[in-house]
Amino acid sequence: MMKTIRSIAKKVLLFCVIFTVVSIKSYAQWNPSKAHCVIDWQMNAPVATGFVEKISGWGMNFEGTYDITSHWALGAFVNFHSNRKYIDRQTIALSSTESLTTDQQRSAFQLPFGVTTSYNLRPGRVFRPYVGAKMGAMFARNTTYFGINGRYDEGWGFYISPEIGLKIHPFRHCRLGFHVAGFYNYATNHTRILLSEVDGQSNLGFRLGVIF
Amino acid sequence: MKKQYVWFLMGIFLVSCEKDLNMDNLSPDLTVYTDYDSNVDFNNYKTYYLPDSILDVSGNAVAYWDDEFALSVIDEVASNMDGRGFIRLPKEQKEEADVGVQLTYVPQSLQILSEDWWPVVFWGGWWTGWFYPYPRVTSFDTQTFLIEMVDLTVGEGKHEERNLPVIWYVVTSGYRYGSLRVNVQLMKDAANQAFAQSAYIRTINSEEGGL
Repeated sequence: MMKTIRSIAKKVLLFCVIFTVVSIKSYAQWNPSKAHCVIDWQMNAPVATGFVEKISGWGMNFEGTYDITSHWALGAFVNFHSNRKYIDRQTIALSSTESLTTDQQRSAFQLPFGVTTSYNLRPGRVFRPYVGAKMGAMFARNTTYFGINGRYDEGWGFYISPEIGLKIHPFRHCRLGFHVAGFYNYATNHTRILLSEVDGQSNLGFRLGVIF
Repeated sequence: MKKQYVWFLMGIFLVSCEKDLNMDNLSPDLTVYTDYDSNVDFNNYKTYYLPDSILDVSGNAVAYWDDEFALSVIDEVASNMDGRGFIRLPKEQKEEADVGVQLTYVPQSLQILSEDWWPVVFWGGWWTGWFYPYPRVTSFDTQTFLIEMVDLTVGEGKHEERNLPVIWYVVTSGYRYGSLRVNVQLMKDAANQAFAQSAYIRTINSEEGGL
């Protein structure tokens, strides 16, 4: 299933690259009024990783986009998030002869960045629903602390994230607006700490913020 | 947009990337790690020798810890060994013992030199943070308590003249607190846990029989 998802992701990435090149060639003149920034606070919950599943609000999302057409916007993004989980004291069989008794404080940190695109369903209105996608790379670091010791594993992976949201522009003569979105993401990162192995990770969440 | 907004936002971003963990949730109990030689049958051993002192590796010279607190830890280990069917031999008969049990204690003080900038946002405020304009040194105390069981039946001659294999290895570690009584209790709890997760440490003399 993971191979199928990665294959589909590569095809979508190729489509986005081709679409971007074609779109940029059609619009050679820069208009500052079409450039936007988004700053969101983010809630995120890892899904079925077996390492950390608890939802947390320690994350933010930053985007810079340009309206290529009245419907399409293209740009770049970076966001980060930390999820944590406490594991009660237990005995772990590290191997056939080794055992470790300890509690653990786990942390899963994610830092994806790349390109973002969105299709605005009702441009020019106060409430502007949209569907979008983000794609790029992700740095992930999973850490577990036990007693006075700790272990971590980190690495890079491919990142993809569809989202749906709403851009709200209540002020006619002011660029400031509000942003709310729900998202799902998948990254191919692989980490292994003690007996917890994560090979590909999914997340669900939502964002609240401002756009200007 | 104005450049100062960009720098302000980048500053928020850089200091807020990864949330520090709250270590208060971690238990003060020592972590207990055990390992054993899978080629060994512990039923073959009947007697053991356990010194009346703990090797203290806290200074440059070898020292032995043998006050009432040390003896309480030694008695806890001996109680577990006796409960597993082993017979403790006195010092005069140590050359006749099948296994030897060595206890070692390693207290340490770790110091960290830091020049970090601590933003107030971590404690609830949303304005930019403050910082110490000079390097800071923080320290914390740790303790490591080791239990090593060696096979005294290997080779010939006195124990000091032979290479003795370690057949059971225990490492317990954690924070060291200001109260010796608390630290000793943590060591005794760790020793009990080491035996609890090592059911193979048992000889056929025990009431429940061998493995």
